Formats: sequence, structure tokens, C-alpha cells
Amino acid sequence: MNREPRRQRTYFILLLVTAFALLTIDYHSNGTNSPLHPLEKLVAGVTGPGEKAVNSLVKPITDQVHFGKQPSQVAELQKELDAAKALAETSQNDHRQVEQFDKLLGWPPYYVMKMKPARVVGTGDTLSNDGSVTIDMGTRDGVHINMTVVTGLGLIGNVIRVQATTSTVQLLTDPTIYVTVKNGRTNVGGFVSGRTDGNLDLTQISQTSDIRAKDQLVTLGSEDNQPYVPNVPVGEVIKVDNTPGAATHTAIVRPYASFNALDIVAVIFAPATPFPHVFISPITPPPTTAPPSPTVTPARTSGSVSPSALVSGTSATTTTASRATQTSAPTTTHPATTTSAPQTSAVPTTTHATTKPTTTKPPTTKPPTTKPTTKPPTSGPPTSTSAPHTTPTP
Amino acid sequence: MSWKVALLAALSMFTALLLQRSALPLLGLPGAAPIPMVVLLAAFALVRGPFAGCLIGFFSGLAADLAPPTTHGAGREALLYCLIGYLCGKAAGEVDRTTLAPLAVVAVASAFAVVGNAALNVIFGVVHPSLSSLAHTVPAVVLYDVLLAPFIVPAVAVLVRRLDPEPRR
Repeated sequence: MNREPRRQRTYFILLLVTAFALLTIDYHSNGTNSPLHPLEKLVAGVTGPGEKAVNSLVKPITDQVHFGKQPSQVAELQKELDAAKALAETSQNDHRQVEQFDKLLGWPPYYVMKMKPARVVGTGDTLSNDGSVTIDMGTRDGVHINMTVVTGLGLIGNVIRVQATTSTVQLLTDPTIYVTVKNGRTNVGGFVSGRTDGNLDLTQISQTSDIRAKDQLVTLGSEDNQPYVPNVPVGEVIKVDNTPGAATHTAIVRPYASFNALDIVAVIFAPATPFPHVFISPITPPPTTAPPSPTVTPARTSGSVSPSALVSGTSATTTTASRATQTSAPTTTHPATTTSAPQTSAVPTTTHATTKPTTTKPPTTKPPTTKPTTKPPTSGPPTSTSAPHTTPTP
Repeated sequence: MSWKVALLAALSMFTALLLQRSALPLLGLPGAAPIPMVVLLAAFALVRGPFAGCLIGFFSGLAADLAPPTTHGAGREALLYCLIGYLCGKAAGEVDRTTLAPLAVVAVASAFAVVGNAALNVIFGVVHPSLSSLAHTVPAVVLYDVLLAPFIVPAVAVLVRRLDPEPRR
């Protein structure tokens, strides 16, 4: 009778020591090269789909029940959600359609930047909140590590782990990740990292250039577009910390994306080729006008969708009316949200949602945000390329 | 601990983990979300003692460590839950079998979970939780968990005794 509790205490201490050993092992070997990685994959392979299932079960209920949130906030979030859903629908369409267009028109690869929508199915709980979320897309959907993840409003993070049907996204607000950014006004680079209050810290090395409140930041882009594609809206400077004599300029940035109710996000499937940083610069050589013209005939012979559907859905209504109207919207949305200058970041989502059914010409949705230098390049080239094709379309 | 009880523990802890990760945060409860895993763990430990408590705690904690979307290393929650399971089991022998005793155990366990997790975060984590955030989190978690306890603790007790009426001592 006396030996049993003692043996149990030994087991307890053994377990504690094991836990501590695991802690130190994983603490030193960071992430994927940890010896526990296979076990982690196993657990993630079970819990990921489980989270997906539970989320889809409770989502209809929790959409209705909100404790402790102001009604206005709920409405606001709902609006964001609707906009994001609209974006998600269109971008999913876009992914397939643009792929076809890309082949047909022989566009430069950097235009293939596209999104695949995903849902956030798991977040951190009270005890383990690591500034990361689970999304319902994995290797089966083509997701791999270091892909950029955005919402309709801007950058939220990048994929750090993938399983078969789910993956983990490290959020921008995590203090351990640094994102290189570019000031939209001065074009000066810097980096942001998360703060505990949900905002970001901006550090700008350059002494010659200042930071002002309301400066808008976009991603500078990473090598091979991993983990960050360039020109994704990140946030807006809300408070500048100008310490005299400091080696760096620092400021506090409010991210465009809202992190407290993430639902629909989009993973950017970017090509490995470098993105030209022309989108944001004033001089934009239109390289896209030349290549498409020789491929006009192949585009038409394929018959299914004419390139004119890209821009003006109305002109292509003869052949594929329904698809044309669908495709015209995505092409306007996806370059805008992913590559546009920060000015458009907050506005476009709502405009996309509203303009989507009408399918007006893409440039008309842009001008409200008055920055003539940056906006046209994003949507301009497709317009100019496909404009010639509209006439020969049967 | 019979395999039936082990299976029950595994299934219920897994369900609690999934709820914690993908359902409870969506409710947007003020303060913090409840931690049903702690309530369940306390319930099992109260019925089956410290050994079962630390075993269930360790493995469910390990699962919580490795389940997405956590990115911190393994071991942190395993350590925490193992401790909580053991201490709750110990408490089961000490406290009288009254109605309020299990509630008190759950309350203390929940507070311990949050504070202990914060302490482990300070030592091993990158994000250091502030004391002011703890002041919000601890009362909220204790309140929600104590509200959950009257449903979970008796249910676990009844189920465990039905599955394995004769605990091997």
C-alpha cells in the first residue's frame, strides 16, 4: 500500500522531467528542425481537420452570438467579412481563369500573382496564443511554407507550417517576425514587427528621410517572393517617435488588416521570378502591351473565354456571358488588392464588393484614390493589352 | 487507470482542445476564453487521483503544444497540465467531499494555469505577458471555468465510475 504512491510519484516526476526536456529541446532547435517534428506533424494532421470540422459546425452559431462586442463593431466586422467573402469568391474564380489567360496571352509571369481564398478555422486559446492561426488549405491545395497571406485589407502574415489539408499562418502581429516594408510616400525601406497591443513597430534605418503620421507602408518584397510578395499594403503610421540623435527612425503603425476577427483570408500563389518593383514607381514601362498582340489569334481560337472578358465583360457577352461577367471582376480585384499602393488598401475591398456585379472597367474603380503614379500600372497593362482584342471578338 | 477511462479522457480532452482552438475564441467573451481542458483535467484528477491526473495532463498538454496553430515548442503545456493534474489529484484526497470543493479546485487550477503559463512564457517564450493583461485574464478564466465545472465535474465522475467502478489503488 505504501509502495504504490511512491511509484506514482516517481512517474509524476519522470513526466515532469520529460516535459522539461521537451521544452529545452524545442527551445533550442527552433521549429521544423526539431526532433519532435514528426510527432508534431502527426498531431497537426489530426487536430487540423478536427478544427476544420468544429469550426464549420459552430460557425453558424457563433456568427449570431457575440458576447462583449459592440453592435456597431459587429456590423463593421460583418461588412469587412462580406467584402472579404466577395473577394474570396472572385479570387477563387480568378485563380482558374487567370491561369488560362496567362497561357493564352503569354503574359509576363509576375502578373500571375493570384490568390486562393481560405478560412481561418483555428486560433490560439487562452493559454497558447502564439500569434498564429490555422487555415483550411494545405499541401493538397498547393500551399507551401513561406507564402504570403492577406485579407481584403492588407497583409496578415505568411505560411509557416503546412499539413495535408490545413496550414499554420504566422501573423504579422507576432513580435518575432519582421517584415521589410517600404514607405509609400518616401519610398524608403524599413521593417515592422508586432507589438503586444496589436499595432506594429516601424524601424527605418535611413536618417535622411523622415516618417510622418499617415504614411502608408507596403511590403518591400522578399527574394523569390518568399515569404512576402512586394507591394502588399501593410499599415499606416499613427504615431511617430522622433528621438533626436537616434540611429533609426521609429514609429507605430496600425495594420490595415483587422486581426481580431479573421475569417476569410487569401494565400498568394506568387511566381518565383522577382516581381518588378514598377507598380509603385512613377515610371512604368508597359512591357505587357507587346507580348499579347501576337497571341491574339490563339486566344480567340480557344473560344471558351476571350481575353476581352478580362476587362470589359460587356463586350464578351456574346460567347460566354456568365463567365465573362464573372471573370471581369476578379481581374480588377486581385492586382488591386495585392499590388496596389497602400492608399487603396482600405477602400478597394468595399469598392470591389460593390462594383463586382456591375463589372465596369477596372480603371474606373481606381481613380477615387488620387495617386496617378501608382494606380494605373496595376490595372493599366491588362486594360491596354486586351483593349485591342475586344473588337475582333466574335 | 483502465483503458476505458484513458479513452474517455483522450476523447474528451481532444474535444475540449478543438473547442478551445476553433469555437470558443469566436464567441468573443470579455476578458478571455474559458479553458475547458483545465476543468476536464481537474475533474478526472478529482475522481482518479494524482497519478491519472498527471498522466492525462501530460499527454493532453503535449497535444495542446503540438496542435496547430501553436508555434511554441513542445513541453510547455505538457509541463503545466501535468502539474495541474497531479496537484488536483492530490487535492482530491485532502478536500472534503462537499459540493463546493470541486469548484474551488477548478478555480484554483484555472488561476494556476493562467499564471503558470505566463511564468513559463516569461522563461521560455518570446512574448512576455504583462501583469495588467493577467489581471484581466485570470478573473475571467476562473469565472468561466467555475461556471463550466458544475456541468463537467459530475458528468466525468459519473462516467468514470460507470466505466471503471473499481479503481485500482
